[in-house]
Amino acid sequence: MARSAEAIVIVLDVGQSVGREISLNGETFLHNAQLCATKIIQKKIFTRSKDEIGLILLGSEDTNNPLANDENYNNIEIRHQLQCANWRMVQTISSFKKGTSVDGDWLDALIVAADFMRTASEGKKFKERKIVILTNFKSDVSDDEVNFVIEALQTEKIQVIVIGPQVYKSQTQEMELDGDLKSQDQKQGEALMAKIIDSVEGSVLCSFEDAMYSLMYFGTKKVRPTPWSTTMEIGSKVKIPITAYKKISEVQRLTANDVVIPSKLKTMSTLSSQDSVSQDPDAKSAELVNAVSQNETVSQVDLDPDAKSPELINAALEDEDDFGDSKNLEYVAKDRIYTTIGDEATPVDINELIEGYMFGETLVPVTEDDKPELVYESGPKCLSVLGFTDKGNVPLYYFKGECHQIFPQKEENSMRAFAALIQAMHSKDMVAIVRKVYRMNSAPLIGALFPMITPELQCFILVELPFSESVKTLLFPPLVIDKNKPTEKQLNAVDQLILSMNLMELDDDNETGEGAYDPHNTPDPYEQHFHSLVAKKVLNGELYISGSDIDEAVIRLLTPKEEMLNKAKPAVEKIKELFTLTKITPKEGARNAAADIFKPDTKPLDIVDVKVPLASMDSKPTPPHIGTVRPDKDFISLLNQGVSLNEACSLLDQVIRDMVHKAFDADDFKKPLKCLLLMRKKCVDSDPTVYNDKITIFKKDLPAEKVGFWQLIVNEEAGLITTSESHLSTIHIEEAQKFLQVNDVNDVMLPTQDVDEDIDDLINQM
Amino acid sequence: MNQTGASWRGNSDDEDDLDVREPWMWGGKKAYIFLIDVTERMFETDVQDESFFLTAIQACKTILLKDIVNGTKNLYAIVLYGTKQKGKASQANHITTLQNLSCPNADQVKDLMNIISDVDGFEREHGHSNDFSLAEALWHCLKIVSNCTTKIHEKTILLMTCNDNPHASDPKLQHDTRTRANDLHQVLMQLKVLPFGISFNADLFFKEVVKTSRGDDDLDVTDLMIVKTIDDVVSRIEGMVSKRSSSRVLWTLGKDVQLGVAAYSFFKATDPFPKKIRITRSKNSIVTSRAQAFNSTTGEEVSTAEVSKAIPIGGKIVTFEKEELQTMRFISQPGLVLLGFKPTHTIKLWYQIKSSLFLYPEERLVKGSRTLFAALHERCLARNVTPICFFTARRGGRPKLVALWPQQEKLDKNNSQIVPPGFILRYLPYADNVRDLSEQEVKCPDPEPELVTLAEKIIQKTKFKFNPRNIDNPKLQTQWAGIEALALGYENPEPVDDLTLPDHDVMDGRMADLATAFMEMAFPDGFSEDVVSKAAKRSAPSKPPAPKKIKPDLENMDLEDMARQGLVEKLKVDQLKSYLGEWGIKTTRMKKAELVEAVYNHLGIPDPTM
Repeated sequence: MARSAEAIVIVLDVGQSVGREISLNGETFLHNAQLCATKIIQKKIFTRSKDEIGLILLGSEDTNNPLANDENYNNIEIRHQLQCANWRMVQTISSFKKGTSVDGDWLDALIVAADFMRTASEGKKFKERKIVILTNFKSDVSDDEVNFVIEALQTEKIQVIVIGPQVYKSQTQEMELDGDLKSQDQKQGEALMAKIIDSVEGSVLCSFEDAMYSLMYFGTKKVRPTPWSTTMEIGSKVKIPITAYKKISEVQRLTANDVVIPSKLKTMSTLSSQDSVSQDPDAKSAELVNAVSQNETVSQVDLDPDAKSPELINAALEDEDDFGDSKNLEYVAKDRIYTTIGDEATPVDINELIEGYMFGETLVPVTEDDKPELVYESGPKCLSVLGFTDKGNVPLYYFKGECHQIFPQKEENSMRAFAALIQAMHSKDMVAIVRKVYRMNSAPLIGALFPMITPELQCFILVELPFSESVKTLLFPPLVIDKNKPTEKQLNAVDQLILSMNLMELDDDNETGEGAYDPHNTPDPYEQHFHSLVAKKVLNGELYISGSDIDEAVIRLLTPKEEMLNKAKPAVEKIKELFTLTKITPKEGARNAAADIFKPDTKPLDIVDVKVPLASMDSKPTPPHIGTVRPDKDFISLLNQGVSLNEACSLLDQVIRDMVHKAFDADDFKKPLKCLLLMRKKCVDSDPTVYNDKITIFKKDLPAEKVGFWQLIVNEEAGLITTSESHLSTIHIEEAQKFLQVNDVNDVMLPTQDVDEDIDDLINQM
Repeated sequence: MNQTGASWRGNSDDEDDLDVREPWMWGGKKAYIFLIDVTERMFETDVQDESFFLTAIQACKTILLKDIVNGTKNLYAIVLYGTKQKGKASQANHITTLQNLSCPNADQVKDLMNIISDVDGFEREHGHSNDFSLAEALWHCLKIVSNCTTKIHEKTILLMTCNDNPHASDPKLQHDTRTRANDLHQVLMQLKVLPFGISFNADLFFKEVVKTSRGDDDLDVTDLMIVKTIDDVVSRIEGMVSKRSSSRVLWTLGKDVQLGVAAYSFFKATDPFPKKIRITRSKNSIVTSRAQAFNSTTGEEVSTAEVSKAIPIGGKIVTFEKEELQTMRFISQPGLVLLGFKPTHTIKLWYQIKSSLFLYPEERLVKGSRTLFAALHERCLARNVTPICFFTARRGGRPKLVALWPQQEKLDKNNSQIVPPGFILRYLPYADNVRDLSEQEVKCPDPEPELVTLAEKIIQKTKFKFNPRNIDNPKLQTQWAGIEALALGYENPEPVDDLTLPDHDVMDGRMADLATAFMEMAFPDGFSEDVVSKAAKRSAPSKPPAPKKIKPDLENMDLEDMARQGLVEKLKVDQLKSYLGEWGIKTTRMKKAELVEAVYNHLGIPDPTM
């Protein structure tokens, strides 16, 4: 593993001058350098890099290096030996709130660093060795040492990376920047450094801005691709040896152990264990599982920390100084407990249990003898072609899982055969459907192989496909119907939005040609957030994380780019103007959502509505009745008892007719009118046809001498229920108006709203 | 972000969640009542000796079995009308409840199988009558639903008949039926008619009934389409499965411009494998299990609220309390935020990290969404661009980078929809998800044109039309077949046809000499796997040691990581046992393969995906 690791010695200038020099961004040079060095180390920590890092302080009050004597190499302190990146280094770096009172010789520091690198990496193998130096070169150095340094670096093959000064940007920029800011020493120093960089292979120089750009985001652990090799088969004869690798994969997350923090160390009190356990342990654990899975932290529970968590233990040993609480953490393990279902949940011994399955509601115990019947054996590992199919048959919405790339094994003939197949598939626009068995008897998968041909490589893209059992049917009406056809103007506004928000014009400064948000360069905001919290916790002590603790870099990442937003403004304004968009408030939304499915005024979801009318239909012990004393109250109570609207209305109708018939004068019309209006109201709410039927017949039957009652109906506008009052109605307003006219009381055409009624009549007449 | 964030974080109560809840989330089951016509015509057999009735019952059985396998847990009842049965007391005549409303179980399936095996006997037992009233039958169905104590949120009557004009001579009964249909509408019970027989004329009667039962004039295209086979019935019922959106959010295009969208998944996240349960040996009753946390130092039980997470990193241990873990999830609000547009071709095929979702406008969030959505859809298609967005599916969900691939509606030759129109929400990987394979890539030499031609011919010969609906999961089918056999008392499980296996005989036959010719040209010295793998190793001296030789650092690997990489079997039996033991999983008498499987099962990594 060591062969891929690097050794990095960071030389950080913490002296007097860096503490005073103000950089372009208004911060001191020291501050910028600290930030940069911190980011480098944090990045290594979070990627769990095996790279080893040493830290040398230049301009330190102390001197600690093997080369130091009374005259030379003073104020240079080797602070941290070569080791994996850790938080103590970060703490060391941030401990310098301002520069020290001394300055060191940067060239001396470079020599100390080179010497240190040589001795410290002795016996270890590193892929590369680098010295990262952060200084403003503001110290007096002697020329004659330079050649010696260059020679030493060349022989040792140590690269030098210089971060900081705004040197060697463009000519004009340099002029502006330099002005009086840079001293003669500094310019001289920079010139020397330039000489070193030019002569030592692999060396670079970059500004804080450039360095910070690439260091801004945390990375995650790099995983060495695991090969999966087998022989791809087409039929029994065609065989091509291949190797597959995961191309896209979930990141390796930080390991998290379940622990109990003794209460005295807690920043917040939690529930007492007894209470919550006895109350609802299942819900609690579900919650935790939820919390854990949401965070996708890996829940690895260790019974024995000594055996299982080397990383944890090492950490504790290494850091006895300021992390004493780690010793007080008590590990949490888990036991699976089986209990019977019921009021008294009694624990059951695992040996008392047999396996089974649910077949619908039926319990199916499975004995050891039965078990073989349930086992599917997929056989040896394979990648077998079932056949080839048109690319169009495998649309991308069928893709499942994570993408793999498949290459031929590195043997001449296999590569040729592989290339021939890929070219053939490419030219025919076909994909291969394959069965894949990962290892002996693991569940088989169905996948598709897409040919991918670029100037650099030829490979198959392997994606997993769903089985029939999980495919869902999605049916949706066309997006555009007559009612919502976007106008030409609206389409133009959308066009303008598309044109103004062209991400290809922003290139993330990476010049990949893939535009902004190229997956290769876009960090995962949540991982960034999580890592920033971890860093915060470590560096600021165990502070408690509240919900609003979101790093600025994360917010910046999640917010659309300002440039885009500005460009899109006119188009967005236009869209806002041209499209009517009415936001439905959450509450309303819920209600409307309900209304879409459940009609207004039928109480949402209830069977109670159904139950009662049915019950009354079934058994009719007391026939429903409406008296003339309080007909309105009777009517309502009948409805409440669940008598159907139709039936209740019929009864009320009878009473109304009765009362109208018996009426002596207009005063006597009041009561029946009130009833009629009540009936109408109820019908408007749930079923206008009932009322419309009744009022139609009522009108027909109304004796000429009682026409005064009709006038009251007209006054109250209590005629047919129209579409404007209830969407269930089919009566138009004109029709209703006509209906109210008294003169054709007796020969009005029945405005039937039910076509069937006519058919029925026809049939009757036949 | 912080400003808006504060407000929604502040009221974490359910108030603001309401808008994202679909009615189905309010709980309750779906109830289906199969209302089957059993008048004489339903029993007339065709040339294959099959009757409409048989098809209907077979369809019921298939649906019950499917429900069991899919674990949907709907409620089903079967009601027959046109039997000779006289109703007891106040009950209507000629209506028989064959199966009352309940979740499907083995006995119900067995009953149906008995009917299927002896239709004549069934016919004799129940007889026929034309004196039924369809209206009463509908009421009967309603009563079944209303008498059910289980909470129901969706209720449907599936009327199966071959009689397109029942009560043709009795307008009153027809009118009653319409009235009842209207009553169904009042109580939000759906009526679906599944007509049998090619000559069925829905215009005579049922079209009107169905419209009435729906309370509006819009009829779905699939409504009243004549059913011929069991599959027709099954697919009609499956087609009814209401689409459940996995998330309903606002899509922000810019300042103050938001439209409502809903995301739907194209397939289930996991195949419906049978759920293992534990049963007590003595009482044959089911037990529940839970993980009890305890302090490994003191042995005391620990409530989950007390459990914190300790993360060893960079030489320190960072702890997160549970509350912290919960609050720190919220870094973005649920929603879709437009970042800009990119040409569709920049979204590479291989940017495949997880299954895509389907995006469709949601008027219930923002009125007018549909028009704007349609305009975006049309222009993105025309310009060949995909919107790039951040997508947070739900509260506390992680923001994901997504590309919205505009999808045009596709119809098959019967005008049925294959793909609905909308956007395909494709998840894009982040930088850390993309693995650098530059060291593994292989640059192939140019093959001879003849070899390519041979390959083309091979492809041509082994072409087929792929449709995922045609390939069952053989592992799942085998398990279910075994369980079905035990539950229904079959002698042996029904054999499972493994559709994932290539048919080598057929393929070899079709390719004939092409296969040999290809191999001979590609491997002139004959093909041998050993030769290839040796050569492959030799040819890569400069690369890191040949992949096969890499010995994973098992000691230091997290077991879960190992499981993901499929390395669990590399562990020793003792290690596996001790791991499982720690989790309270019994390991006695288990073979290594079983131990390995137990570990994968335990970790919920069914198989280390490739």
